[in-house]
Amino acid sequence: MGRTACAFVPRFELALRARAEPAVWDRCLAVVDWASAPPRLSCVTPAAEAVGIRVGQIATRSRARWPELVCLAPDAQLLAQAEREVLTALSSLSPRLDADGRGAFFLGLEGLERLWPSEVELLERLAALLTGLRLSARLAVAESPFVAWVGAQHLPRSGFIDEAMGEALLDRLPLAELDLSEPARELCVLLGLRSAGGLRRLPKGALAERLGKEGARLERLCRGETFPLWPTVQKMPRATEVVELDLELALEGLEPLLLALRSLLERLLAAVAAERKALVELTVKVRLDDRSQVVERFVPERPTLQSRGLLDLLHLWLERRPFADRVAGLRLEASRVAAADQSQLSLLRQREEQAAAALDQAIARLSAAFGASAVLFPRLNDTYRPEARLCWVNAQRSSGGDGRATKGERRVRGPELAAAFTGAPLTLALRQVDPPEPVALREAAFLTRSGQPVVRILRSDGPQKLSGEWWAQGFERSYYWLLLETGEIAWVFRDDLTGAYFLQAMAD
Amino acid sequence: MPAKRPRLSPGPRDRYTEHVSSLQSLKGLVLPIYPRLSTGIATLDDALSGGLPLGKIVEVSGSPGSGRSTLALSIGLRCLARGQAIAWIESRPSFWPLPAIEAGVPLDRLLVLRVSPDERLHATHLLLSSPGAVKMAIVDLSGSPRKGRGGVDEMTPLQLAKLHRLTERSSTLLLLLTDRLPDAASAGPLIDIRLHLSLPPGDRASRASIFDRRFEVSVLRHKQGPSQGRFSESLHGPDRLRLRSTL
Repeated sequence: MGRTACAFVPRFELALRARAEPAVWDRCLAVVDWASAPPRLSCVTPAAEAVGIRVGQIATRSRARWPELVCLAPDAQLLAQAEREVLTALSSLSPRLDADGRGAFFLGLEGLERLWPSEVELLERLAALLTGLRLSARLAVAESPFVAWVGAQHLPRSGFIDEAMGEALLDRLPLAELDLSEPARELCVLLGLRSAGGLRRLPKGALAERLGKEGARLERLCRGETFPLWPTVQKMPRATEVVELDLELALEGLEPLLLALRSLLERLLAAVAAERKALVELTVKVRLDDRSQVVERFVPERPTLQSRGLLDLLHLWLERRPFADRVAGLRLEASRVAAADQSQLSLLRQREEQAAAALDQAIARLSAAFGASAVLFPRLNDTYRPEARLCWVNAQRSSGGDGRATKGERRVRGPELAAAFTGAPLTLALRQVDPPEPVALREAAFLTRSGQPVVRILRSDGPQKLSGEWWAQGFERSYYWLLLETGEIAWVFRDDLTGAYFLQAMAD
Repeated sequence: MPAKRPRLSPGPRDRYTEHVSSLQSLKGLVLPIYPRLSTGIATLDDALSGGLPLGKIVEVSGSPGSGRSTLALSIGLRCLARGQAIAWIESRPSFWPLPAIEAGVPLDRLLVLRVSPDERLHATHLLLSSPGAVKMAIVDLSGSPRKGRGGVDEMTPLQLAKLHRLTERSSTLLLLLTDRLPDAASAGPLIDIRLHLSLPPGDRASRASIFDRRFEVSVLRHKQGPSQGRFSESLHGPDRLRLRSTL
């Protein structure tokens, strides 16, 4: 096949994201292949690996194991763009190029002796190009693309691989690295093959005879007779996604039909999502026991991959009892589909949207049951007085997210908030006394509240002066923190205009 | 000596051995059954296998000023930091998260329900009937007369069972704040964890700062693990609550 150089970028998809956000490597992130069933992790950060997350794990199980794991959808556009960028840069080194879409780039070196008398210089130039693209890669040069690929992946540093080293590398490469199908893997184990080296030493035709095309491909792969290594799969136009169910016993009734439709719908949506599409129109064909057929089309508000809205439409349709007889068969078709955007393919985004919808629903129910004044969100006011600083607004009026900061407020989110406010030690929470309750302080040593026994004050902290609102009634206060005999902490203030004391809040 | 038998080709048993040998050892690895919310107290989290479990009912008892609201709010702030919603249900309007909000806690996910003592249970049911609406719900039952209406004592076993079922179905952490004494019985057999907060005895006046204090958390019940633990944690501030002028 000829001498080949391979540049392998580990964790390729995450490395592309890290170009814009280097902090990616410090976070527990994984890229999930949602098209596989069940969805599996295809790329993880070192921080995720440190807590036991591995490539190939089922996404839901990994999240259950480590809830802080952030799962990302593959970004096909980013991958394609980055591949084009890298191949364009590498075209200055060699006219024969290829990429496997997983971070490995191949340069054919046959016939380039005049252009690159020294392969060392070529590797240095290759490394510089990739560094210029902010990608860290391992490089290897070998007599075949396959050996170069294995060397780039498994050797600790870049280098040249001779025949003996190539043999040793292939002997150490486990079959799991070769992306075999299940029958191929079982056959290899039955034949006692554990490594790619064993495959290479098989008599020619041995695997092809048993496994057909895949066996022939594997043999050529291990002999280095395949270039490119993983031929790009051309996307063939697919027929409309269809799911069907023939019922052994004809169904009647809303609940059983809805149950059957729900499972079919979820299968259909999974198939549509696997093609990176979203459903625009759903066609339901119902075959009745009397051999007649009922056809109905449903168009959701917007292209969707969520079953909830479609199930609501199906529910409303079934409630109208559209069937003259019992149902003997169901057929769902994705009659129209559209390209799905990133948010539709992201499971996390869907969960956030569902949670927001559930919160809105809960607010509506609670407001209907107890009145709008009972369901509240806090809101900061631009005012001086602490008791007026925080007010409560009806949740229904402000639902839909009131995340905008008012003037002068500092918005801290995510990790910043977690670090600033939730780190040890815990910050004391207050219970407001609203309106501030008049109290009596005797000799600065005893606190008396109305209807309660006198309490001794052990320590005090203050005063902290506050005054303002001169354009209105105006106020001047001196605030004190009091540690009481009972162990409680009280926040009181003295009205400097009248000399009276008031209790503002108690810590709890 | 009989001739050595030829070695047979690898069969399914060897494949099994190969898979088993490649399995990562799980020895010493604790995998919690339910997702957990951290309490903010590392030693307590360790004792509770990572924190308080979602989908369960936890009772936090203690006298006024013992730190119940502090602990509840600390757990709630972690949810808010992740963009998850929490709800606080009370009958006396006293919940005042001003220090947290001054620090920039997002407001659009902190829901407060102010209902009469009789309606607290019904409000909790309605809230939990929307699975996923809130990650954590805190019901302030403190201040209820022990035998009065709306208190925990007033919940029949059937009502508590319904609450437990809704909590589990919605995967929400339900925190009940009560002012029970440590030797009083828990709210019912369906309470999964009971924590009791207390202020440690001693001469408080001798401490350097009024805020130089600790509170103690005792685990009085823990269905999924060992109970009867005691942990302490230090508190902080708000010694200088920002009374800032923004005009």
